[in-house]
Amino acid sequence: MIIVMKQGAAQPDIEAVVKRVEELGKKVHLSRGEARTIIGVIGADEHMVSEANFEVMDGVEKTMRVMQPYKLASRDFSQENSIINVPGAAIGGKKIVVMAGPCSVESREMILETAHMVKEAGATVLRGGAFKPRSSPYSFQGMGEEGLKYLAEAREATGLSIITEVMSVDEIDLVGAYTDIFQVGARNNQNYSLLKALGKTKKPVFLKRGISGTIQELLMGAEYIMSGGNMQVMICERGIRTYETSTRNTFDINAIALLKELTHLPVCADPAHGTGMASLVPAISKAAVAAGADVLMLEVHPDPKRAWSDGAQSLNPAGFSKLMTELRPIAAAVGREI
Amino acid sequence: MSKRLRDCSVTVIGLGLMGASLCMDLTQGKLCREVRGVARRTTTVLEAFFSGAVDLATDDLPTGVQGADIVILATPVRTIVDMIQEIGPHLQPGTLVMDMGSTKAEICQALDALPPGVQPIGGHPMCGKETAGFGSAGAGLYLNAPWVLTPLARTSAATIELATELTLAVGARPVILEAQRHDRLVASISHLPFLLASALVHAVSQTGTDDEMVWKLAAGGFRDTSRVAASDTRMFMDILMTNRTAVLEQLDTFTRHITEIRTLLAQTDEAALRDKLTLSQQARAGWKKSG
Repeated sequence: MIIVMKQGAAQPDIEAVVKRVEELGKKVHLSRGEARTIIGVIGADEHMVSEANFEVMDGVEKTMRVMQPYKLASRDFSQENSIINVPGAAIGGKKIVVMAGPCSVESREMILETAHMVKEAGATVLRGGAFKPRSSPYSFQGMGEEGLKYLAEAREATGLSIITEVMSVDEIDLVGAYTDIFQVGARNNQNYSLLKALGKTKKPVFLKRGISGTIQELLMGAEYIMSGGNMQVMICERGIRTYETSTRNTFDINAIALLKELTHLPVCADPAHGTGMASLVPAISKAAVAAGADVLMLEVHPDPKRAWSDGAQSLNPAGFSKLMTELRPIAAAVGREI
Repeated sequence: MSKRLRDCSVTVIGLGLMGASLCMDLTQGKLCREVRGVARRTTTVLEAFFSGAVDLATDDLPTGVQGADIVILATPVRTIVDMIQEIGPHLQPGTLVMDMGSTKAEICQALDALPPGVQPIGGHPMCGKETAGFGSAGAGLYLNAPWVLTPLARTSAATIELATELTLAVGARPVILEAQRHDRLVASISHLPFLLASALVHAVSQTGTDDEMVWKLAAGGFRDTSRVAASDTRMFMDILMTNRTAVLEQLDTFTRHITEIRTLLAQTDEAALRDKLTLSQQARAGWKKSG
């Protein structure tokens, strides 16, 4: 909190304010603003210090909270956790939502088969990429609209909601005709045109953290969408680039816990991209649940060795089933269900 | 990318005589971009702020240190080692960290433990007054004072340059020395005189308990030779404990000379005594002229 003194405030008045800060057990900093003295209140829980302590004191012009650059996404805006409803899942509620499916929709049979398997194991949302942001123009780019149709068919057959990636503004209408949740990939975390456009839609948006993005940038991305009018945003930690090359990315477990502190939006975890290794996905999934994640996004493929993309980080159906069982006590231990 | 002092944000931790005087020089001379002061007590924070010596005054260490280009540790010697550990996590790479402690070897060892990228350099401005605290501070304290710099192996040339620039800017005379060598030298010309002054005061006090008149007769001679005995005890305790070996060595050297003088006097060896005293008189006169 900042206390702004009146212009030309008297020394005893300034001393009195500093003394009050000290009495409240906080530390202080004094600086000269434009023609007036600024007193900062510093300390753990300083947001618990009430403005009322200072506003009536002699010489005080006003008090101000130090604002974060994001507002709608901030816990200051909403103390209650936001819950985003899609058919079959209340995202952000007590029950942790599992979104599972292949990295890409490869064929009708494959997506239908996978949809049944993941539903069986306890997932409530089906993922599958129809438009893929590949690092190479020669890699499989996704089935496009055909893939979307198969996802919709899988929804019909199983009752699972679907989530799929939209890569650009001109795909929004097309993808929006099929999907329940728009997924924004890591590489589009700062594609502000896309975010602004998604802000004008009425569908939930699943926003991934940038590959080398900060938590603040992630929240500002959410802010972009929300300021357009669409408040249904969930944010996802998917691993960040670090100097460590043993894993594809470094899953930032700190982010899960910190985001739960900073924002009321549902916090999601993607341990598949976060590690790049299927063998690590179970442990990191458990860590994310223990740290407070509201959503787990997992890549599941009937035969990962034959996957057209990201096979190395995909679980097979048996592995996914096993993980879901193992996650139950972990969720229970932190007061959640899965 | 070399920084110039005028572009730097300087944080001084410890607003006693040394720290506050440095702030005053920097602020009054507009020598740098911003001056921040960190003190333990809010009374000092207020004093520093109202005096205009700093742009920002705080009792919160991270607030004072965050984003600083130069951090000066002007707290008592034994607190410096703890301070170094405390500030470590809040410094960005490239920050120059310099202390003002009167002993260097132990402090330089602590400075070396700062996170990689931080640029430490030992410092010791050789000036001061017997009085301590913010109230004794004033601009110009460092004029013509030798300011020893003891770079570590990891200290870059650019850092040495910037530290030198700062000492010159406040009118001091930078001297680059190796840490152990510095400690031996200051044991000789600073720590030894202090202990001698202390012993002198004890001796005169003892005489004074027999005859109080001694105090009425005490004038310039006593004043000059006992002056440093009035130095801050806590500060000197820190010094003695961190420079013990070198100080003991100097005390032994002194003891040899005073014993020699006593022997010559006891034996009434006038010629030898006169020679000894003339030698020291000439040495002292020579030092005064060159200083």
